[in-house]
Amino acid sequence: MLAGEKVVRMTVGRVYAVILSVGMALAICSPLHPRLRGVEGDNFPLSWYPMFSRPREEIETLTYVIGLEQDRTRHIIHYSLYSPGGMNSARHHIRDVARSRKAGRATCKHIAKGVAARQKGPLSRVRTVMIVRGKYRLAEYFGKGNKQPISEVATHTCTVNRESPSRETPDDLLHLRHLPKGHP
Amino acid sequence: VTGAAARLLAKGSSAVGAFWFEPGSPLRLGAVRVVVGAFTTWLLNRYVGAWTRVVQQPEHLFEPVGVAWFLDHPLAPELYLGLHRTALVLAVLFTLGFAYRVVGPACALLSLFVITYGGNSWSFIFHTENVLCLHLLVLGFTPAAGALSVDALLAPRLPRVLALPCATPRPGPTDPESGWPVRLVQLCVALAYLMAGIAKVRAGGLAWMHGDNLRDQIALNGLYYELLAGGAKEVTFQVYGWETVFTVLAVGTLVLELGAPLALLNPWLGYLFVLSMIGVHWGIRWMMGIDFLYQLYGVAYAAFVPWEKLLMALRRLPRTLHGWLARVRFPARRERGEEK
Repeated sequence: MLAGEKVVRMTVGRVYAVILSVGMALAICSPLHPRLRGVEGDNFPLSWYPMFSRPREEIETLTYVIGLEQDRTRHIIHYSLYSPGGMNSARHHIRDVARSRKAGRATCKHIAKGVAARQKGPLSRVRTVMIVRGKYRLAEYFGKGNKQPISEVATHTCTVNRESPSRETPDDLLHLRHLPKGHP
Repeated sequence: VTGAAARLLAKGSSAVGAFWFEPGSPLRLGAVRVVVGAFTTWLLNRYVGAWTRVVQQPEHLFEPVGVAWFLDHPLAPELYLGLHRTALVLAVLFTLGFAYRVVGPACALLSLFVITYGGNSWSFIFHTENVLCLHLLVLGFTPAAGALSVDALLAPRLPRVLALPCATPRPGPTDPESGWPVRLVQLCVALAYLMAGIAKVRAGGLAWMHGDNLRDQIALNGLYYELLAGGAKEVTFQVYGWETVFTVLAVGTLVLELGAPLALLNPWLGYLFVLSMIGVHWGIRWMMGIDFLYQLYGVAYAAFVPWEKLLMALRRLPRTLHGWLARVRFPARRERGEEK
């Protein structure tokens, strides 16, 4: 041993410390391997934090819910009306729901019911609720302030009935490309 | 060559061992436990209602991850609520450092399950409590209640059998078993950032530093707010064209994330890292409205703070204040004393 060199004696406690330390470090780094990232490509709490890393598309597609007044004035329906979780949870929820005919219909009716309960504010004038899928160009939206969607397709539509429970309109796929008041 | 390499390896591992097992302050480890435990208590209390509503969502939204992977169906909401409340009680005991040999691991494991199941197994994985869960695991399975704890007060006064679940008191200024857990808590923070940095470089290469990707991420988040919540922050529209600023932010973020492990090597690098990362998270909040609460309020970086020095300064504070007051109130007496 050289002069001044420290020697670390391995006791049972030290062996435990080495196992725990190396184990934690390896576990945290494990998502570096794609096969260890979990079924959904990400996991908790061992994540590879992909949220800010993926290169974005020029055109982004989103599913959301709008309400239309009698004169087609539109309002964004707040996510709290269709998801008890946060906004990101609601985004995934409504995207998945829109893909399913049955779940989409049930969710649309549920939202229309929530809207029908509103007595004040803009939502009290809403007559129709739509789950829509819209395409947007970020540079247009935020760079030029042009909030019109490139295209917008309604996957589910329900009327808001303030007298009796809401019913769904039969036209499931309603193209809204030329809505007169298209500002979200 | 083999002999020289072996000697170099032995010397390297000896240096790493000496660094990792350098005796640390039980006070610092205890303070980290108190801060992390108090935050966990606050967090579990804050989300008890919200997560109980989340777990009652339709079954098709249930996508179990992490330690909840074995569940084929969601738990009964009443059972989840019971587990959440138990975790909350354990978090209080964890903070107090009571019966820590039992409470420490139990709180870490149950909190991990509750946060995984209630907060992350319903169609979306958040990334806000990852480091908290890692810290709970480290603190729960290490002697973090040797100081600043009920156990440290009670254990010496209790009969041996009753003291069994209590942590061993560590009254000295330094202790060989109190250094490495603090380093491991620091390492969890550093490795999490390193992973995020590597993900960025892997996905977009060093071109991520141009800032376009960062700008688009912020804009996309703004679009979510516009279309799901009725409006994005005004700042999202204002900053969209700031190309140079986004380049600086992207370079800074990547340097901080990839360089995070260096923060363990020197206390001053650690302080710089902590202040920078708190700034990054406040910036994320300002621009994107995303709250990484554990990082935002600095709790994630508690292990980088020299609590033992702060606590000693706090202990000396009455005497120091008394001295100052005496000098202010009786300057003449002080001068006479100096003349003598």
